[in-house]
Amino acid sequence: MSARVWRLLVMVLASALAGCSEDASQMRFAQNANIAKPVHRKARAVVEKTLEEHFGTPLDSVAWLKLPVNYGKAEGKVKSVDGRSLTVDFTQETSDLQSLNSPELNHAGLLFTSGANQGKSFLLAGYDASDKSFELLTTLESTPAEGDQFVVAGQNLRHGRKLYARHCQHCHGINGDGDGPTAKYLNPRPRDYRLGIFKFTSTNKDTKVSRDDLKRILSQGIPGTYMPAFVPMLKDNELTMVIEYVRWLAMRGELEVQLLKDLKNDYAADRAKKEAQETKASTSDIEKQIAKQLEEYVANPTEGLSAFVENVTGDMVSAWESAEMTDTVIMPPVPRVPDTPESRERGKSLFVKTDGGKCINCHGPTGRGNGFQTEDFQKNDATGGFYAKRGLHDSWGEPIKPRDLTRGIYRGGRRPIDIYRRISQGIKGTPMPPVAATVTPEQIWDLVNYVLSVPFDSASPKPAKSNSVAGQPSEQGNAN
Amino acid sequence: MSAVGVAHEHGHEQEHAHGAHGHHQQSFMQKYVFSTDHKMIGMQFLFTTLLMLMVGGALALGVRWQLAFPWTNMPIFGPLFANAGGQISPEFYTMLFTMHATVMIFLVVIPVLAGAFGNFLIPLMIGADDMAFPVLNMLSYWFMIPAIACFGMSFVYGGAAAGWTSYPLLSELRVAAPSSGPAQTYWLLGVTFVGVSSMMGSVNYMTTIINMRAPGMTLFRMPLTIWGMFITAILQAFALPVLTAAGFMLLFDRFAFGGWLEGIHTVFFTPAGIVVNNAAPTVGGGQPLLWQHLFWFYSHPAVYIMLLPAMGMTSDMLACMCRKPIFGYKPMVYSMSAIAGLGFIVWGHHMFTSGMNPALGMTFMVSTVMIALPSAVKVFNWIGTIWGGRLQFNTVTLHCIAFVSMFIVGGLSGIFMAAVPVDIYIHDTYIIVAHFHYVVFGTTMFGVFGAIQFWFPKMFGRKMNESVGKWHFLLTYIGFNGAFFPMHMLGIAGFPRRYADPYIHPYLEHLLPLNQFITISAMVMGFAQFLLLGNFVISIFNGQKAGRNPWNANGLEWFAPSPPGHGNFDIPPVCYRGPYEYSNPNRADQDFWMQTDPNRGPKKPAEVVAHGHT
Amino acid sequence: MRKFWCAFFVFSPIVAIIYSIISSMVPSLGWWFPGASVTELGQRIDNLFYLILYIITAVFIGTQVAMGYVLWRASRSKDERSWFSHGSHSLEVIWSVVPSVILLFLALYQMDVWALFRVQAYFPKEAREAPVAEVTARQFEWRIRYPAPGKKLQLKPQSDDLYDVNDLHVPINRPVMIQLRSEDVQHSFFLPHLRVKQDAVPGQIIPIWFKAERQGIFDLTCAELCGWGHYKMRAQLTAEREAEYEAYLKKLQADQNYDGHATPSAVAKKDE
Repeated sequence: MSARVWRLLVMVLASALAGCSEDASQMRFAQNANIAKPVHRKARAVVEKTLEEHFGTPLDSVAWLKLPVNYGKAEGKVKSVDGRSLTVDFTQETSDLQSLNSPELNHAGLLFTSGANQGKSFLLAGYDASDKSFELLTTLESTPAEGDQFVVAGQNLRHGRKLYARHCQHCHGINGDGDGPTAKYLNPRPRDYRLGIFKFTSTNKDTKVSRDDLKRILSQGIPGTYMPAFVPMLKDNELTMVIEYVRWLAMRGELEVQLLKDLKNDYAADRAKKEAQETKASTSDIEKQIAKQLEEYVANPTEGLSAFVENVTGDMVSAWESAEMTDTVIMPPVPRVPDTPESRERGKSLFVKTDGGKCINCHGPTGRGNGFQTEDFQKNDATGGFYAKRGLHDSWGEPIKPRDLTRGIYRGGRRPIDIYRRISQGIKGTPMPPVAATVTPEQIWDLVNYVLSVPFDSASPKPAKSNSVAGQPSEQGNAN
Repeated sequence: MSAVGVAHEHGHEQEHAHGAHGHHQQSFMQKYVFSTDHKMIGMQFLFTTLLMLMVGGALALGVRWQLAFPWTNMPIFGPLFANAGGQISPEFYTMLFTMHATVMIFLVVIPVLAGAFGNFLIPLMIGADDMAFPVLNMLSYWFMIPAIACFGMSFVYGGAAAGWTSYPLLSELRVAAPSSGPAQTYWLLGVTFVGVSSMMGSVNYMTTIINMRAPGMTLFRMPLTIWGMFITAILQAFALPVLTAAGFMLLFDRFAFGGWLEGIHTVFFTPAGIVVNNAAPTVGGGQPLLWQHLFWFYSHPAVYIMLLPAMGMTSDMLACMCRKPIFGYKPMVYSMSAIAGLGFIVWGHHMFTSGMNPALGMTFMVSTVMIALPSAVKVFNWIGTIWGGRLQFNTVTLHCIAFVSMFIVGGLSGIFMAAVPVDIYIHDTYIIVAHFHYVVFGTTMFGVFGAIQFWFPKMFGRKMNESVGKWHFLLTYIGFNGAFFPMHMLGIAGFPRRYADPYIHPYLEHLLPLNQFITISAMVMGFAQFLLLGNFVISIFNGQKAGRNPWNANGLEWFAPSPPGHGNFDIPPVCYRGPYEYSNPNRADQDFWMQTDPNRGPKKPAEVVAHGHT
Repeated sequence: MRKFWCAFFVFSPIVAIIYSIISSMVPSLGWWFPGASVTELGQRIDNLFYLILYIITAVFIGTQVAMGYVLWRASRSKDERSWFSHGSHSLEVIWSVVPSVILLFLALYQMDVWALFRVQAYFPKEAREAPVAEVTARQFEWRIRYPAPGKKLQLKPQSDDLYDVNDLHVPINRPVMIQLRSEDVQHSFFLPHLRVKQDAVPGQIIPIWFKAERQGIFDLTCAELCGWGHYKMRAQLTAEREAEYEAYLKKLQADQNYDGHATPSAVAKKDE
């Protein structure tokens, strides 16, 4: 047995096993049957390109400064310019920036706040910490003068992504579609951010989720689901970064969905086939025509793609920004009505009234979540038809059950104000409606008092939780 | 394959002696696949387990990769998760360590000892022509195939992911864990098939050892290997039914049958009112701890099932390589019996923190601590065996010394676990992982590696390559200790088992570099096994030819041709003495004295000289 | 080659011992206990650990030296033949009796610490009578229920109970008992700095007691496989002075009754 044969054997086996692959981190794009599939693949390619341009890939995410995302920033002045290279002085420098190496700042945004380029942002190719110089990805339209002020942003997004990849991605998916590898085992399924809807908010019914709400969910978890509490796992600033990344993903998803919806009308997947049948032209001609139209659409500066993106992001920005305004946060105008048997009784009669809050329709007469609506076929607002399965559905098209109030588990928080907000403004993306228009704040408090008393109501059946107790705690914990 | 031809002729000549093995032409299928020949079955087991060793090793490296380079793109496994950014997901990680343990325990260690070496060695070493029940023996191998298939199906459904211990409710409620659906069911079926296979084997071994020993082969003339196998078979026969029953109980708990089977939905392990993953609350009045009792009632003795045969084989190899009788033969036998006996009353030490009655903890502590005693006696006897011997440093010896050395480490660290208060802290930390790898890998597998080298000439009539064997040993030994010794320190630092990302815990953050070191060592160890595999395969065809008794050993198996033909012995063996008469002063001419050697004085047995004396 | 292998087998235990000594002597490496135990009982557990460690180190060195010696002798044997011996009865007796005495001593010596830790009759009376909290493990977090200030913890949830997640507060310098339960599968309540570990078994309520003697925030983790998110069950134990503990409960109470009007300042912090 020659030594060479052995060596060869070892090498072949080792290389076969160790065959390292490239980092497979790629942003995913929508694949859903109702949103993406009806769109022509060329149009989808346009969407993908647009998204990649404005959002990048996970490892190379783009801080698109137009969005109301706190990317983390450093401010400074231009010292000298050499082609695409800017040597700078920092006036305000975050410590993070110093620790970032050059590839980390790739595709971060640089926004001029004064000078000839004021208001314009450029993407960075990198940063050299040794001589404090930025490399730009594109050429400048006009050369900045010395002393021009700028803001560099992006490090929050980068760190946020790392944290997201470590803690969130395996459930919520690489692009926030709630379809990570672990997701299929979870009930309820992890949130799909791409509709921009988050359920448990303090904001009013028409407003998006605020950063504070997201933070509360992250730090408290959602009881009764697999969303764990991430405090103390994440520090305060880490929570902030994850939230910014989640918001960024949500906006990316919203833009994607909007684009696809828009393009579905003109560039349906079956358009070539249909037109070929109608006009008797050859399919390839129509395909060519579609490609040409798309090209024009992309190129058109006033009514084309860029204008549409501009529009959508404009709306999106104002929607996300308004969620941060204090006046959208629901605060009860009156303090909680004292939690007396009378108040609970009033709440209960409201609860069961079929023309008032209509709580009973879904939550059932004793709050067990078994109202008659759960047995009915429900209308699908997205398609106009009915859902195939009986029972309630949420905006993501998933079946959803009304809360069993006897279990004493409150997903959006158990404080009176949380319950108040749920009742007053409803739960976004679910059939739980806002009742603020038809019911007075005092009555809502009555309802809150009733709802909070349900698990302890001796008349209602025992909560499932306490059935599991075997033996007395002080006597025998080790019943074996 | 002239040896086979010769054996056939012998078989023909001695039709009376080997009635059951009349001369008949065997087809390929009969000879290599559905063989009832214990040697072929043993080799089938050996090939299967070596293959499974590589599978289990790959799974272990997957686990190690995640611990050293968490959430980075894993080689081999990473591309499976391209959609998830190349990360392995936490439930995949749980699957990896569950299946690693499953494969290694049920498809490697237990079958390689009892299945491969038990089958191959028992009839040869006691001088029988085959097992007592050859067809049962064949079935015991062929029940491994559905077992492997079941574990394979488990992979298809995502792999069982409730740990190899499969504690309910995690393993029981289908919604509690990913892969707790069909994957867990197949896993349980797989374990049951392994159990059936082991049961068939152990019945066969007991019967064979009791009934089919050659003339003169009294119980206390049996080599320690046979004692190890015998005691193991007894252990298995008594412990396995409990696991099988527990497995079926869990299966019935898992299924909600419909129709006329509706009443079968049991709740042995299910307490009432448990809500998992928003499923309907459970009904029942069962007790999850019951599973732990039943499981460990088998699985603790199983540790000795994984150990005793290797102890026996090492004793035989060590005596041969030292050219010296084993030190304290009877104490060795008694201590093996003591380990087996005590092994039945120590299972509770896996459950010290489980919430069982504290008084039980105390009794189990005493019995567990006392099981260290026979183990210690064995170690002292092995050292005594080397003492004053003339040691040949070949691969077999190296593995035997490593066996003893690793067993000392694994045995001593076990004392921490036996002490209940200390176990409170170290339970389910990496010190446990270190301990059982020292025992099951460090001890058993080094014994097995040595045994492969030692009995390879008997299996294939050729020797394995010595220098490759030494390299394999060296790399495995270094890799093994580099991987597992630091795990003791991880355990003392409170590093829990089965964490996909331990570094989110502040008190574990700094342990990443140590884990990277461990992973690199594990890789060295893992890739070293290719040397073994290559050496094994190539030596079958290319190895140096060996005679009947290449090691100048005493056992009956060395009296048979290499490889032995159908019916094993060309001359029916008669046993005249114990198996360890090395360097007996009564035989001045040679330093071994075969058990079959009828000579009392210094005479050269022609047979041995012709075939093996070097 | 013989010399090499002898040296090899002598060398590896030496490396192991040196490595162990470094691990235990250089706390900055963090390869040893995560600091001295916060509880007195934990220190006694550590002492038992060290007792075993010293004994087994002596045995380890003894056996490895013996092994090295016999290897060296056996490898350099000039004799024609090995020493023909089937063993020694008296040696067998010695090395059976001596270890058994040591082992039995070890086992009996551990009993009282175990009894203090686990047997309820030995729990401090004050702790046993007033459990401070109920800790419910669930996939994958720790939900904690305190009784309202001034009240006793009841078996069933009460409407004025206080809830928190992943943060168990206990007062220092007095024994406290918690009731451990599991909402779904089996978990294990592990406080490495306090050397406390107890499985949470579904369907059972298991009491645990400890007496933190140092202020601080300590890790609370899960030590029994509970599913894919096993590693995610990171929580903390906040051991604080009695007054701080009271204040914490007060704050929790205020937060839990927050209706948008009462004590917003206390709430704002929690809300962040």
